[in-house]
Amino acid sequence: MNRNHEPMTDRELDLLLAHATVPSLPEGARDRLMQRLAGEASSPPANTVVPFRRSAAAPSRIGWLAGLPLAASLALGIYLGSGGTLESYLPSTAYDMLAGNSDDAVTGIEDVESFNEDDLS
Amino acid sequence: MAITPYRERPVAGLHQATDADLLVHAGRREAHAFAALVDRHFPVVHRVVWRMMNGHADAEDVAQEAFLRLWRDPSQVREGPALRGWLIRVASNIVMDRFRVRPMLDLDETGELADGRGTAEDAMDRSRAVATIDAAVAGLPERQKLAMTLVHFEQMTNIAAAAIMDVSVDALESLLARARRSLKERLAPDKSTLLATLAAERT
Repeated sequence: MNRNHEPMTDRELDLLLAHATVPSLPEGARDRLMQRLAGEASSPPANTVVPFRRSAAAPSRIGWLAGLPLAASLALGIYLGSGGTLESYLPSTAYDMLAGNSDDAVTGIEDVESFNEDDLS
Repeated sequence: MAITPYRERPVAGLHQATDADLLVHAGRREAHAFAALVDRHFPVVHRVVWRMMNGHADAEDVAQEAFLRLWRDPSQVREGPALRGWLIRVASNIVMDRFRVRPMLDLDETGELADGRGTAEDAMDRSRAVATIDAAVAGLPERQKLAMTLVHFEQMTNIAAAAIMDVSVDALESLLARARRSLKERLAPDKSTLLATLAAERT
């Protein structure tokens, strides 16, 4: 290629580019596209979603069932505690000790130590 | 989902409807609304793809693919005025992806656009002159070619073209400057012949 050519101006370049091919839509292109669209509409959409494994997406039914006894136990505990019926299910010695302790006034760390020694010995 | 037949429920004032209106109807799988969008934007998308693919026969297929993606989920385009840019961006990405996997063949091998180089001494007819210009554009790197196509051939503003290419306006202007410099270098050897041939054609 001859490198000693005269440089091209912007105007000359624009003049040449104005003659570049202007592509026209091939005949029937629109109809072919609409046919493809109609084909897409009649066929089920491609599933592009990869689902999580069920165990990862949500707890299994067994997991929910295992939670039922826990919930029932909690509800029973609240019921028994609030209704005062708990004491009839506890051993009497344990309940007396708890009731007696509740009346002792604790005023300092020395009292706590003596309290513990007295009651546990 | 069933497609609404074209003649059953035409949108009133279809050709006056905005892209946003047509997108809403297209989202309801109304083919007549989508057909109006196709009429409005398919030619320009095809022109851009044709230029990007150097006139390759697959240009129509790639342009179709962009519209198919829109048809599958029109809600991808959030604003009606952005539709044309969205379609061009999708189509140009498809072109780049295709040729990233399968590099574009050399122009001499494809025969899609004839290379008119080396014809300075010959009597150059108009078709050969045009082929020389097309080949020079085709030889540009992809992004420079896309920038030239949008701004020069499709008469888009720099701002619109930059938005489509997802680059800053400065970056777009840089691409355009490099593209023009490259085109000048490619076309300069045949400049006088090309200008004379095309000038003679006009008279």
